[in-house]
Amino acid sequence: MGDLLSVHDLETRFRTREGIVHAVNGVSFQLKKGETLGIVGESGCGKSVSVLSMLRLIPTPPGRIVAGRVMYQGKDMLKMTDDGIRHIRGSKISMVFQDPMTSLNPVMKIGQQVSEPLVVHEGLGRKQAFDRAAEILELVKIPNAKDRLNDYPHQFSGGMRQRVVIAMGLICNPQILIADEPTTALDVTIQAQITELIKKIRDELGMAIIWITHDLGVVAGLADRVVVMYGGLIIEEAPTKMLYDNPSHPYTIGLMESLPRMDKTRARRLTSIEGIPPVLMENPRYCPFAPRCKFVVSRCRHERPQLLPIGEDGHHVACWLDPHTGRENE
Amino acid sequence: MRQYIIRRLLQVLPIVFLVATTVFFLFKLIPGDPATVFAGEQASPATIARVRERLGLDQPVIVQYWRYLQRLVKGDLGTSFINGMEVIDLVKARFPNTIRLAFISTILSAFFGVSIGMISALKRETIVDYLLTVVALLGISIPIFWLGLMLIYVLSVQLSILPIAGASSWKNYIMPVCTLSAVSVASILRITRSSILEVISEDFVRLARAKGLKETRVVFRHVLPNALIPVVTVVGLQFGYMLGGSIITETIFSWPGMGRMLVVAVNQRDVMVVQGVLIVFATSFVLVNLIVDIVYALIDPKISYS
Repeated sequence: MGDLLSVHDLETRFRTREGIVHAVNGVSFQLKKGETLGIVGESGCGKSVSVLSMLRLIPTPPGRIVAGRVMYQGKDMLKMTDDGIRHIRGSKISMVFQDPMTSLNPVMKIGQQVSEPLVVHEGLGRKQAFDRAAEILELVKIPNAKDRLNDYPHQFSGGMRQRVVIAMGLICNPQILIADEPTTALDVTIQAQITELIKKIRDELGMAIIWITHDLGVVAGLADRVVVMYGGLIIEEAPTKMLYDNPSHPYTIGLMESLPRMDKTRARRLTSIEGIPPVLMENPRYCPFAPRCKFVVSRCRHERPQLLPIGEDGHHVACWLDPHTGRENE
Repeated sequence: MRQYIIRRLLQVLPIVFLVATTVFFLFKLIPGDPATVFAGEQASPATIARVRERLGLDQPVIVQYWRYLQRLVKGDLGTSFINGMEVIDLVKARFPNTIRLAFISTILSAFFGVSIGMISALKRETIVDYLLTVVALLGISIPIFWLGLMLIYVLSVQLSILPIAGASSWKNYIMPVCTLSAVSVASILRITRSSILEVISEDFVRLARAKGLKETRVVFRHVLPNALIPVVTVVGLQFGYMLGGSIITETIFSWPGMGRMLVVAVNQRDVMVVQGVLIVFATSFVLVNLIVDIVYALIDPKISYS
């Protein structure tokens, strides 16, 4: 197949006081070796839960993965033993989270935190592990990395901390780096630095990246392919350029119209999508975007559209309608 | 670090001074004449006057206060009115027993409080957690004196397996330690549980799991070191409270410590002993707090020594 990682029909639910929340409702996607995949969507659309479910990092309870397969190196990660998945986490697939201020253990030295995956996965001694930690911290451009191994997180700024977290994710040379909104909590200038840094390291090390964001602008310059999520479902998937040139789901179109574009000469007003994203108390039997969609037809409220290929290569949409022509899709 | 400790020690001095002053004037406000107590109810007015002169009680209060401070600086806590012994010697004989009881109780409450709190947190919202919560609630709400008496009734009177009173063997420690620890175990358990639950949902714990660490390593390397920081304060305070709590426990079990000595001295209106014991208790409490602060600075890198 050539896929490094493939996710099939993943479903995750959370038990809450108000009832069962259906956060992810049958998500499937593939990641090729060395590819960068962007996952885009509003807060609460299930993008973080999807990747956390892949690595079984959902707190259980209240969360539960109820269905799906996550195939990596021929094995289903959801069916592995706890030890099995632990050998993959941090070593083959590692993660970077959104908030660098809370991602580091405040009472543990940076050197220890960064080298910990090496100690655990490769059984390295403290000295060797610290040497490697210093190298990797240099790679992510921490000045005087060697002298800072004995510092604590509070002695670093937000941007520097995110570099440390990234270093921690890279230290075992993973095949896949999952970055869950790694720049959202940072200043715009620092955002750009971190994005550039990850791009550079990706090109040097040749790893695949899953980049989760709600910022279409960030993904544009980074991803090879983009998946757009809404209501715990993938509603559109396409190579990045194709998605920006020809967004085909009404939700994606709405997102594009709310985004200032430098590459379009025609001046236009930015528009917003009316309404708020749904909290799904049941697996949607109809299109979850229907209540906010301006192209809505009666079928949208009764039947859920499947993610199907349209015209061009690799472009998939889950919509009953072709919003460009106004005709219903086959 | 050393400078920090020295500076904190210097800060203790004014507090001790204030305590000594408060204690002194408190006793001046209490009705009753120490000279009469000293000389005995039956003594003649002439004898009482002589005693008053010998104790310096005929001097103006401010002079008495000054002499009291002078004696304190030299470590002299005065002489017991009842048996004529130096208060400092009485304290030296009794205080180690109180400290030993409080220390053993603190260590055990910390051990059980933290481990049970940890189990409670890791098994949150299961039957185990609920049961432990009820036990903790009982520990907090049961009055010490009742618990002590019940233990004596069951273990000593009915079952005759433990000695009722005294401090002669390790068996004597069991009931007083249990009594003194009940409240502490419960409070330490509660704070440990809530602190762990707070830390366990932090991002860095999720990241620790994402790094592929074993759950035991996640708990002991990442969760506990953070969760135990507030617990240290509570343990320290509990040790302080135990010095005071020993008053009831020591009385119930006739423990030869300072708490019981204080009760006896109050009954006998032995002002000097009461004064001395209060000053020693207050000073120890302040010192315990100081130690907690120093430990705090050692375990939390965010607190700097400067």
